[in-house]
Amino acid sequence: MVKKHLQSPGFAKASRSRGQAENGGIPYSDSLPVHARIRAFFGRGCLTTLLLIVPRSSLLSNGISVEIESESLREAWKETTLFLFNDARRRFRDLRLNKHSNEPMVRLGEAVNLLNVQPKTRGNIEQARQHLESLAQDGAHDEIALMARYFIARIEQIHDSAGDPMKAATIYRRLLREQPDHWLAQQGAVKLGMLLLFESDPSVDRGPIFAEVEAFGPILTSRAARRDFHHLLGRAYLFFEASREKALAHLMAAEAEGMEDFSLRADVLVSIAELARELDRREVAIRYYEAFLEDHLRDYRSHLVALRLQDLREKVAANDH
Amino acid sequence: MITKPNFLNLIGLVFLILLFFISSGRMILLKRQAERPGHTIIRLAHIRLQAPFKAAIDRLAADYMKLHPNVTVKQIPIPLRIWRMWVRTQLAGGTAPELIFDSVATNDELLVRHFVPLTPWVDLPNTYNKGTALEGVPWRETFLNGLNNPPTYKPDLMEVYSVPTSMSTLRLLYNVDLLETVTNSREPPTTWEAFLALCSKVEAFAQRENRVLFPMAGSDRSIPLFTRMFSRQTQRLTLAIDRDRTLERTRWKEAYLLGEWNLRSDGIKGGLKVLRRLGLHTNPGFINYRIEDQSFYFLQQRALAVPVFAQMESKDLRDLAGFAVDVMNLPDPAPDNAEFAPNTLGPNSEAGMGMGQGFNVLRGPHVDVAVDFLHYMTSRRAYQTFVEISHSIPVVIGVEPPEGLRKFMPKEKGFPPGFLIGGSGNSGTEAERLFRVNFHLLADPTGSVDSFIEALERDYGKMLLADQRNQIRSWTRNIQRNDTVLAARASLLNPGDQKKAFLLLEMQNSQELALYKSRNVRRKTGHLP
Repeated sequence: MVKKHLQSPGFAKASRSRGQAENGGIPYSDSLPVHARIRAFFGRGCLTTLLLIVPRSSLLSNGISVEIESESLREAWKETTLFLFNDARRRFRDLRLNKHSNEPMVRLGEAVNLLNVQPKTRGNIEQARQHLESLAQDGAHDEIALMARYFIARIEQIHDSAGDPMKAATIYRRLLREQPDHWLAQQGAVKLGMLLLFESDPSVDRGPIFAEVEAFGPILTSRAARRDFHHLLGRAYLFFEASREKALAHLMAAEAEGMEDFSLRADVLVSIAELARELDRREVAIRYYEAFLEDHLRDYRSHLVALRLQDLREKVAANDH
Repeated sequence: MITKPNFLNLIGLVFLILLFFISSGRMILLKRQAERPGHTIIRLAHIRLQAPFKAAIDRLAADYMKLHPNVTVKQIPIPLRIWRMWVRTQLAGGTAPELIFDSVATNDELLVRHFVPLTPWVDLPNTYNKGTALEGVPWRETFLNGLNNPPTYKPDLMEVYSVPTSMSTLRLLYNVDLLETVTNSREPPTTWEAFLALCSKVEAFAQRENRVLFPMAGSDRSIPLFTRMFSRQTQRLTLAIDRDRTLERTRWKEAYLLGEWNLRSDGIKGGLKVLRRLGLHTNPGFINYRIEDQSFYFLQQRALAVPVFAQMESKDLRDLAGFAVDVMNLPDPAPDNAEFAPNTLGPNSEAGMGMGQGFNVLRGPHVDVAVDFLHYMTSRRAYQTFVEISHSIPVVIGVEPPEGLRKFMPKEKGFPPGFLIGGSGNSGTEAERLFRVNFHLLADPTGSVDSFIEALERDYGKMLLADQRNQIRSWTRNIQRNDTVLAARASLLNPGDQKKAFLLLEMQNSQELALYKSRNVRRKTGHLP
């Protein structure tokens, strides 16, 4: 199906300064207080979101652990992290039926677990959608409402096989327009970028689509979103053979934000070095080949990389000479 | 008077009663041992039935028990055929052992539910390394792979779930005495051309002497050795279609569907010619044989050489063979070989490959002791003992391989292997099935490379599309699951969960990107509306 209206421009002309939250590059292992670390992960909106969705939580004096109001609520989330979706869903449902004081969060928990309860049924997805839609309409809990909207978009995009990606795109656009600083809205920008770039009619010129997605860049303040946004664009420029120069710039930006996964980072380092070599940017290529060899010496690409590095060094030396 | 049948029945009955009492006694003994206050039993289940591996575990267990008299370590070897069912049953019944061999039997869901991630331990030093060069070094950094790659690291779970105990390389084990009988030399060939000439000599010798003798004995497990030769032929083609510039062989299916290569491309034809030559010099129909069959061929001197995957298999065969045995690599075509050299960059690199064979730690009251045993097992001194007895390639830094195993050590100076169109688990279930079903056309004297290509061409695209669809389904399931976990991690508000949420997003977006690329190719080629 042609999805031309995915390409509609009209995306929020938000142009907030990226400098608003330049703390994104801070590693989480340092000794910053917890709120600063949370910001470093997700950007400005995160802290307020998390504090609001966990009412009466208190940051403990040691700055590491955080008390959640209800142990049973914490247990339910813990079960979710262990993929025990059926058990977690039951626990959330019981909490809801027992009129837990944090009802919106309980309903959010039940809804997101319903998305993965086995067996997967349309009924469960519909039930999740209903919970989320009612949370989204509940103005008293703006932060949870935002999370609910994000997950409604995810249902349309990835959970419901009969979902409508255009509806997801519309929700992502609205989230970005209304709360551009929120980490989930910024993740929505990455998801929207994927929809625009890859789900549009293959025969349509990709130029305007790239331009539209590029416009999301300046608003992204969360390090996670910036990293994934640049990675997405870098790979997309290569996939569509649109521009090696832009691909290189985006992959370098993604790497600079800090790729966490060992294998993913190895691939990005090699791609940057290879592109730089092709574009005759020898110094860049040498730097990234070296970075790859430093961390990935036992990778099966290391011998070829070492040969390419040696070749480049010889060329640079010959030029200098 | 007791008749003969009655007597036999009586013996049977006595035998049964005896067995009952022995089993009951054993059960009671085990129960008492387990119930002894302060005593812990650690059971370790695995599929390595080879005697050297079992002996190595027994030795380490005995040494460990000397250090810790309040712990009993027992191993439970399980045949591969029933392994998956056995593991699932034990887990479901709540009787699973404390340490279980890391394998496909334990998928992500089972791992998360029943096993403990080792991540909290891997950044701390292994205390058993005290007094060695690895003292104070984080456990992770005592391993050659840094525990950053599968199968020890599970990327979808973002956790380390096991530590490796050995690595596996594939070599040819050959009968030195027989080689000398045929060629008057005990030296194996070092070039591809000389290897083929040797195969012809062996066949001529067999005909002359009127005996059953093949240059190589194979089985369904031999194909990886042959396809490694194939992957040398697709090295250049892999780089030619590497749009992502990762020097990886990840894009070959997509490139086939987009028409960037086909089954008649030079690298593919070159690879198939290599496979045909190897197949013709192996016992007919070998793909239908099991590993035990190929060992019999070799031990009965009906084959000069046999592919061995694990080093322990080679040790078993060495011990059983009544003749001199040595190890060789399948040699590469020479650089001036006009037929094969243009497709290849050089020998394949084996760096970082095949490292694993670790153990998962069951959740329960004995986690600390089980992890402690793993610490002991992989400490420098104990591990040296382990590799020597089990005849394993070491994965711990500074541990020397046993004598006779050096030829199995991975060759790290080499080039990234090219992609395979079949013959390995990585090519996808449907493509793999098509490849194996038609393999006889390639390996049989009546077949040919062209007949194999013709047979494959009819359905290859369809099979790749089916595999791609399965891959998309698998990615989708992961992405969906991660959405729910993300909500939980973000709500749990502690640094560990936040770090995982951060990683989770990267993993999810990267997988989603792969998914959308595949969908785009399907749409572009008219396979998706």
